[in-house]
Amino acid sequence: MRYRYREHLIRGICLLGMLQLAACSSVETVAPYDRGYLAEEGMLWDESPRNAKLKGHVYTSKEASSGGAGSAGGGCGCN
Amino acid sequence: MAQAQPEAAVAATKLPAQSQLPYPSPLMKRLGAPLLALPAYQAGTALADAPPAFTEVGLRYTHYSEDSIDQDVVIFGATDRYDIDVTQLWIEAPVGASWSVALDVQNDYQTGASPWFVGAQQDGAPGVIMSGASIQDNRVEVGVTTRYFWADGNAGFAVSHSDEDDYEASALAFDASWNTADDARTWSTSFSSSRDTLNPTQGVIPVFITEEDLDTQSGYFGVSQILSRTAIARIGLSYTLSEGYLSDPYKLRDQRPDTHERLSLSAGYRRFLIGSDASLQIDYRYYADSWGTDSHTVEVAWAQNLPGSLLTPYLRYYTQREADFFGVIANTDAQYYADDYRLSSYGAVTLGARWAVALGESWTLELEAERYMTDADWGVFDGAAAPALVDFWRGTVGITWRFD
Amino acid sequence: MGGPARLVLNSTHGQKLDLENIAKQVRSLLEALEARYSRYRVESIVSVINQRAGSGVFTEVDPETQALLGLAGRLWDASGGLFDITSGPLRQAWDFRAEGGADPAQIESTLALVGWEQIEWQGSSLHLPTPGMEIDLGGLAKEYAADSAISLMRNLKVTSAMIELAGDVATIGSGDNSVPWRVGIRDPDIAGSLCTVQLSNAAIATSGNYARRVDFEGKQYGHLLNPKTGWPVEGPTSVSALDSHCLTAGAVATVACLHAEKDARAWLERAALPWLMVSSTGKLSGPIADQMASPA
Repeated sequence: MRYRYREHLIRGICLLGMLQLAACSSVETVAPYDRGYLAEEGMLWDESPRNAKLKGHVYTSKEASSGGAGSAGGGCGCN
Repeated sequence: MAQAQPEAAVAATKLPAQSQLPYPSPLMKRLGAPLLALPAYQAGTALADAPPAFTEVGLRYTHYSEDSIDQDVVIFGATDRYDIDVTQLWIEAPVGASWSVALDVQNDYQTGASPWFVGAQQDGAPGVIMSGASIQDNRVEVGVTTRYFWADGNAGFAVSHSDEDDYEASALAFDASWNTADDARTWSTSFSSSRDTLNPTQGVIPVFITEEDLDTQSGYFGVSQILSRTAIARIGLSYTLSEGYLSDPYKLRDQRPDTHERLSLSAGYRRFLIGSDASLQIDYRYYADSWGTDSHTVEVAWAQNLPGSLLTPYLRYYTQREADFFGVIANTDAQYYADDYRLSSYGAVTLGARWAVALGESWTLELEAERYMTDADWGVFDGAAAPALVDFWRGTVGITWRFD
Repeated sequence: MGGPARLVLNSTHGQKLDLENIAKQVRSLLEALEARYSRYRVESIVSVINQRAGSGVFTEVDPETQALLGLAGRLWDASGGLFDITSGPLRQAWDFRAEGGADPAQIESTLALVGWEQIEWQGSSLHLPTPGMEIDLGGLAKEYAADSAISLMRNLKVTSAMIELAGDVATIGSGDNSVPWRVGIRDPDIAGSLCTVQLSNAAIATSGNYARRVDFEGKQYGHLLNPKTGWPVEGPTSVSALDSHCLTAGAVATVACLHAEKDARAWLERAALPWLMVSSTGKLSGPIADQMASPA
């Protein structure tokens, strides 16, 4: 494994740990009947899954990075 | 029911059966949510894990257009870059009480030129030699997904195949998610495997391979958590391994390793602001791979409720570090080399907006447009600037129909 | 909860339903809900909470009451404070049963007792901090009762029924001969109906400001009060809304009546349910009224 890759992995894992701690410290219990706002259209992770797939595809073919939330698979000869 | 006088008129306001209501407005979803805990309101309403109550058919058209490359940095070749027209068509329907099926078809039609290699101009500055502008390519992708729902979660299995003149890919994917008993936390995972085959076309650019394969395996694991009555967050981790022919056959000087490991860590946050009747959306991704590249992506969006529609302007900032073997002008003496601008260090900003409008009870119109701009100086990582960095416009229009 | 109740039950071909027994069960359910939520009943949860106002004693509420209170809170949020179940004390300031109007000084002091945001919560227990404060779930509970009766009848395999509680109607299936239930929307001024709607597995709720009118200083006021100012609202005469359930339709109609007319229109468009509004001048508007002009 290249030196830079290992360094980046460590940075990534530390980041993940910090985010995990931050999230855990601010969790409130919300009763089922009080979740109306969470069902708002703008609160979805992906407003439109096909749109998210297309955007992801465009960025993956024009940038060096790939992946994100929930993605896996698919291929094309996009150059 | 006896009337004291003749009816003034008859209004045909028949609503179909309870479980097949027209899609409720955001206000009604918000008002109805406290009642979902009561049996009287549960029959027929969409529960967290039940197949959709309606069938959906959708059509989207996207036009993607790259800016022409600056004549000053071109040594030879056409300056028009890619124009791509993408059409997506899908149908997704519930099957029985616990299943749903979706069929997706996508067609990409692409024209335009791309960089062939980077050389030195007379003054020593790097310059691009472009491919011929006569490239035309059509790609079709078809995918089928089946999904199973149970009380606490759902799982899907998808098969897809894509075909174009010089490239063929087949993929299998599996995903699943589980809710905890109080539905406050959702765990999700997915795995996929694909096999791609390249048969580069001999054309204006000479290519030196006839047929090559590459295999990709990818896995994702994530968790989403309700933080308060107005906020949710999620984190995720994905790992991808590609093996096989990973170089770009249409670039003269491109020799990449035959394995590529990629890791991405993502985090997301959504918060509803009651006073503004809008949601704040923040997403971050850190990416690192075995070729020496790492990157940060931040996306911020504001989803504003308007009467009958949702308007979401957004801003995305992306910065990546060059790959270990990248060179503005490729060093062909090294074991691996590439001058592909997509492996250089740069920063990119996207400004865009999405507008989803409800047209009556069953139709939704969506419009989205964005402008993507790249500049080597906008990144946070050091590295030489590639001359062929690209800017583009993308516009999408789509229509969705839901019915029972 | 007051008001008349009507139940129509049909047994369709091949069904062997004991309609008498079902009607009896529905009656018991309605009585139980009245006993639990009516502010006129000493043993109701609402009365218990109101009696303990200012005492420091918190009252535990069950999930059903929590859900109704949750809806009340959501409506308070969404209506900018116009829908407020703590506005009961203002009724006394405006003594609608007697002649004459209100004493402005009394209204001011009563406003201190009004405000959903004042309710104190400890988990699923609540407390009204000042003596004299009260909550009233009457309107919501009546519509909830209609929906509960529908749910009970569905569980008992009824496929054709209509229940009417004080002007709000909820239905299962269609009426005789598979024709949708035909329900009239009452004309606020004269006996009879404005128009008829056809319902199939749907509900219609009407909220009005036409009952118990009061004449004060030359102006006519309905009985609905603005909980922020303490004065009667100057809004539409009545609003009807249609939805799958009576409670959600009723919530939308009630909040519409608490707004001035043009704001009521904006609210109804946000809800995107079929609606009908009768303005203070008697003008009809809304999708239901539009369909009256060109019957489908």
